[in-house]
Amino acid sequence: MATSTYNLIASQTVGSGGASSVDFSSIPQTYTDLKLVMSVRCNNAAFYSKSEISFNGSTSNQTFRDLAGDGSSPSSSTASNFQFIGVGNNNTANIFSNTELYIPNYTSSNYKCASLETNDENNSTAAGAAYIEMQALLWSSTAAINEITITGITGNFVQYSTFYLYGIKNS
Amino acid sequence: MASAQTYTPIATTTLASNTASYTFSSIPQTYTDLILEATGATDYTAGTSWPFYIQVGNGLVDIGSNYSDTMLYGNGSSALAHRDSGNTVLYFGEFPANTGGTNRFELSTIHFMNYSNTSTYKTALARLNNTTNFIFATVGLWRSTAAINTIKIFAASPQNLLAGTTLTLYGIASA
Repeated sequence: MATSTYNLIASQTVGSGGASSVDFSSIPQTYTDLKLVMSVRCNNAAFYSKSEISFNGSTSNQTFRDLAGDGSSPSSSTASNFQFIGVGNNNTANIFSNTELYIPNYTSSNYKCASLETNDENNSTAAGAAYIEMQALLWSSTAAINEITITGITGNFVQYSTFYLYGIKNS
Repeated sequence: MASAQTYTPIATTTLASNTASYTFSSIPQTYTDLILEATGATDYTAGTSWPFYIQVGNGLVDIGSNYSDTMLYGNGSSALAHRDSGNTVLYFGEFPANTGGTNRFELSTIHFMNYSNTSTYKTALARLNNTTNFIFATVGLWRSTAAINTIKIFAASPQNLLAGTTLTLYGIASA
């Protein structure tokens, strides 16, 4: 049988007390790419929440460009941080975001590019209640990524938020 | 019993030198879908990015006017849309130029659905995530019922894909 090349490295599910951040440390350096799949809701009183991603404990040297839509006008913007939109606590009950972060060549000595896509749908007709976004991320560091931290900016992650980190080998 | 592997690397390369094109040939017909992960840059130096193209085929790549694409893209200030028809290539976006210093590559993921069937035209969904200037979400079409067993990726003439560009083709099995 062929060797598995798409493996779960670690997962975390937020417990009843909530969590301000989730951390994956000591990431094995034996894969080619990383994929982080997140289902996120925060306890802030708004439709949306905002969360931040850092590599190796650093939020420096981050570049961001996005394409987004909330059901009305699409938009595009740039920033110098890795922040993504999730679901806030004023949104429909039991709704969590669907967010994927893909990091190719995370152990290389090149700068680290990544893609992030988040989709929040909730069957609401309220303006701005749902959201879809694609992001290009660049971490201008030659260090291998050995830690990924996801931090709630607008509030804490609520119970049942999940985070799955996969490693992908190209051979 | 362990489940069967469904995300299988078929072939991978890291370009050792600036190269005009790279071709995956003799692609096995045993999967349902294909995913091409391309982390690339070009040797263009007069601007910030340069287009790359895809051609596919059975045996040889098709160089006829049998491709079309529709895209939604953002440039950092506006969201825009564009489409091409009767093209000789699939246009999925632009890789960074070789002007942002060394070590600068960006990611494109291209998903070819039902690539081995011989009944339908072939659709591909692509994402290009380039912090230099563009985000692209594109659907591409190859108007042929032939199975795809060859995929060529190349920089628009006269430029090259930059040394260090990595290209990996995965096979996805539905069962």
